[in-house]
Amino acid sequence: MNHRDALRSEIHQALDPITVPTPDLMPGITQRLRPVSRRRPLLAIGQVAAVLGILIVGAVVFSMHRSRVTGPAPVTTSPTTPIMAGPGANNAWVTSQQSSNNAYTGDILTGIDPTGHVVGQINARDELRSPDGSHLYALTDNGVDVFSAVDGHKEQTIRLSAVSLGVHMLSPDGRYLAVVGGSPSTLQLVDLSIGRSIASINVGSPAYGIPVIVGAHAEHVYVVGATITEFAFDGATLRAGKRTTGHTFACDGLVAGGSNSAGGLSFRVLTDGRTLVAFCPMNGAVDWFDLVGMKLTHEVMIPQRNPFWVSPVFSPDGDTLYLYEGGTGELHVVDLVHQTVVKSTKVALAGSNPLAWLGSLFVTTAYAGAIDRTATVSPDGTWLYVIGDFGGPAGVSLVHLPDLGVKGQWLPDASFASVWVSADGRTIYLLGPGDQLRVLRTDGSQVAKLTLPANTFGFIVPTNP
Amino acid sequence: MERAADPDLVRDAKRGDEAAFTSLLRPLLEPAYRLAAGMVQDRQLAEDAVQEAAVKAWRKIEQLREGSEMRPWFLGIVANECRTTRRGGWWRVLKIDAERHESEAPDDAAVRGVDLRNALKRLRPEQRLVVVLYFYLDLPLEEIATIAGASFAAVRGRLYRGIRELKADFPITEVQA
Repeated sequence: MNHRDALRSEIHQALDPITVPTPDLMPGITQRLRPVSRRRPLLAIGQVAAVLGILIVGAVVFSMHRSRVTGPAPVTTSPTTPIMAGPGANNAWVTSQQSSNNAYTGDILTGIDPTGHVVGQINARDELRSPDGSHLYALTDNGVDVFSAVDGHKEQTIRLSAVSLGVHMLSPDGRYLAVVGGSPSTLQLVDLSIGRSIASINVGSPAYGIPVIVGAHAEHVYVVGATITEFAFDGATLRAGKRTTGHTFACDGLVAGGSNSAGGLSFRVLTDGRTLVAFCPMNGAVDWFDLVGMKLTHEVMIPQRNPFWVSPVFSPDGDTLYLYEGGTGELHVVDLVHQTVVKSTKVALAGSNPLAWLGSLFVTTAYAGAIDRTATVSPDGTWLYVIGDFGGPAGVSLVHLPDLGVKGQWLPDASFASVWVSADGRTIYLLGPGDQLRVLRTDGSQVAKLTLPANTFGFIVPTNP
Repeated sequence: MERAADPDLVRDAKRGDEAAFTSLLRPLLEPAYRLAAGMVQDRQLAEDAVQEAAVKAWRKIEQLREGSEMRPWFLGIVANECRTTRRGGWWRVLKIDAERHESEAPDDAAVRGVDLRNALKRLRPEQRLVVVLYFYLDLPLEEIATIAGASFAAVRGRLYRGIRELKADFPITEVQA
């Protein structure tokens, strides 16, 4: 056997496990051909108009079909209590990164409603979503653009002093927005209820960090970077206060991950209003920081196999932190009030492919600079949706949070990267390979499957610092 | 090389006959899936790529010239779709799990398969396309050139460079027949 034949034989042996048997693709294809049925003069005007409409909102091709999704047992994750949220809060907003010569140039944001229809599209960068889910905020060079989450239309542009490499964050009630950036670095505080900047101050050095707003009237803003700097706000002016020295958190990832990285906020101010809890995606540390005493008070380490594998999710009441490791299916539950890891357990169910483990044994996918949102909590705090192995078919596992029991699994043969649940808890959105989005109900039935713009990265979810 | 598509079916498909189109498409799904799986190395991604390509082919069927072969035309669309699919993961990096690598010992053939797939992944997409079409779909270089939208010489060069990089990355043992 010559060299080429040997290589041919090796390639067949390597690829056959992926390609054999060939799945029956025709049913799926014919199902998709009908919605884009070929043009027939005159008769097709409506269809052409519909297709053009879709193209106008972003060349997003969608196909809708309803199919029952099987699981180990029928499970419904419907919320037990009604959830109040802002207009458009049940729409998913998905960001697709745009690049030129491998440099980030901005995002395309696509809005999808619970029926699987595209409601709007936005070109923006550095986005945040309001805590009630009703608005999206995107930094520009000279301000902040405010978009409606209902359909993505721009409602307002708030002018700011020039901001370069800006980092922004909302207050927990969504009234205030703080932006750090520019040269020299400036902290600017915006009152969103009146739509303008109300105070600014030079941040000093180090200049970079996430602004964390504390208090009903933004009485304190902490710039959290390598150190933590306190700024007091008296209603008119910002004034610099205490500043820590050295690296307060042994984790630059808190800053590097961005203010709302794909895996969700990695920090939160507890309900006592004085304790900042931060998770470090680089080393698995959970730190408690006293904002009044300006000192680190406690730290626990959770075991993690790889940096940037763990998706942090806070419970709706903010008292519990769920740390889900997408690569291993491990869930660590941290009681933030009592400062302990109360349980570590494996919650992702295995995929149905008996050889699926082989690929993950040697090569695993990690994420540089951001974390996929591999877990999300229902707004009533009852269910945790987790996706299985990175890139492997393992579907979605349904974890009943009161007892941490895995009660079901949806789409066990499908691969997903990110999951988000709508504000009313009744719609589950799943991002999979190939920039595909699936929309599910709480009984696991699939409402729609869409293809989104290339480089779809993750959900822009309500910010709740 | 593949025979030209049945002109009657092509004509009917261009008039919007879905059954004619699926008749044309059906024999191409297996090589299309093999190509896609070889390119993206993920069953779900490959299925998605072929489905997307089929929908695009349906929309563009009037661009299929009379007397042209259907297979290279459709596989070209599949190849483009795979390129789009691969762009979706540009921010990802691979981490080798050395600890598990040492402690577990699955059979050698499976390990070689994983290693070769990884070596294929490291090829540039245009090289991987040519290597997969030539070695896995066993297509002649003339047809590969049509699929890749490149000249015969360019395809031959990509194949040569692809083999050279694979050999550097993954030693191939020659076997005496």
